[in-house]
Amino acid sequence: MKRGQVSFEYILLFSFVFLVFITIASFFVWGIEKTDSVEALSAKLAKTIKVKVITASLSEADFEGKIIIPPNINGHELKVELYKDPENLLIIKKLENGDVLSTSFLPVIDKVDISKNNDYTLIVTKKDNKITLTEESE
Amino acid sequence: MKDKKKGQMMTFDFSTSIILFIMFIMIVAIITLLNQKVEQSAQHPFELEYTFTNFEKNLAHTSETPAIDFIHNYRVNYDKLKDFSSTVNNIDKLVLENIDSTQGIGMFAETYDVCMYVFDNDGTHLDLDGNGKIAVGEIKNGISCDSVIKNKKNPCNGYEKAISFFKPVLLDVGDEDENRIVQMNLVMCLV
Repeated sequence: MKRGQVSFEYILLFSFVFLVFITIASFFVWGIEKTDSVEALSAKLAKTIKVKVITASLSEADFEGKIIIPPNINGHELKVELYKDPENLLIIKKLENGDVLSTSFLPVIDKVDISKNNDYTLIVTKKDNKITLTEESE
Repeated sequence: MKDKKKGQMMTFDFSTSIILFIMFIMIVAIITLLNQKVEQSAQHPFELEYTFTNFEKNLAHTSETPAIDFIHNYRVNYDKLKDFSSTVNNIDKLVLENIDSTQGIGMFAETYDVCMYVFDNDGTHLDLDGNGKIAVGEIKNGISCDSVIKNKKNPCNGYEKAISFFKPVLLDVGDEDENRIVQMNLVMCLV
């Protein structure tokens, strides 16, 4: 075996193993991102909504805050369900199959007046010590 | 023949080294990713950051007589604190939930046991009720936080997780020369 031939085999072997490694690593990273992204983003949305409602709850004065509810996350259409007292619950689901992406207990909500599943501006209002969740009228 | 054997041996050594290197990298990557998952699960709910404000608001809206709204805007009224400490034993609901006219922060008293104590500016525990009580609250089996902390034990021993928040406040004792900054602490033990 010639010295040049050995070097060429090293390069081929290294390239092959490196290719295998990159393939495995990319699948690994892609898999983690894929499983995290929809749920992580819906959890962030739930947190945003809850922070706004808590701000209203702890406010001594009247309060109004707006949150944009997106139509979808990573191509999955959303269904944002809000329940008033006694449930005081927020559930974010996938519209296509009802899979629950995120749930969160909210402060005491006196009134919920929302007809849409997604793609609207949620208005959190506190007036006369009552918290109301409504959608912005177009 | 000798050259061929040498070449095969070198190729074998080289490929073995690379495979071992890749395995090492993969193991490090997996351990790092798993640790990130563990760190995420060790996080506390963000709502706990609002407990001080929720506590203050609930105190302001209680119908207790005498009034126990001892804290307002970073100012603690010592007389009201004494009334509060001598009349209230369990503060879980006041810290985490809501009372009739408040809305709360979307948490439940059953999830955490809460203790409250105050460090004076000389580092000692402040006498909360004027009779030597240094902590308010109850932990498992109705044991008072006061007895546990007096015995220099961690009130959250035996709990899954614990978190502590503190807030510097002005202690108003009714005499300008005696008023001072103290540190109010809330310790929450996850049930």
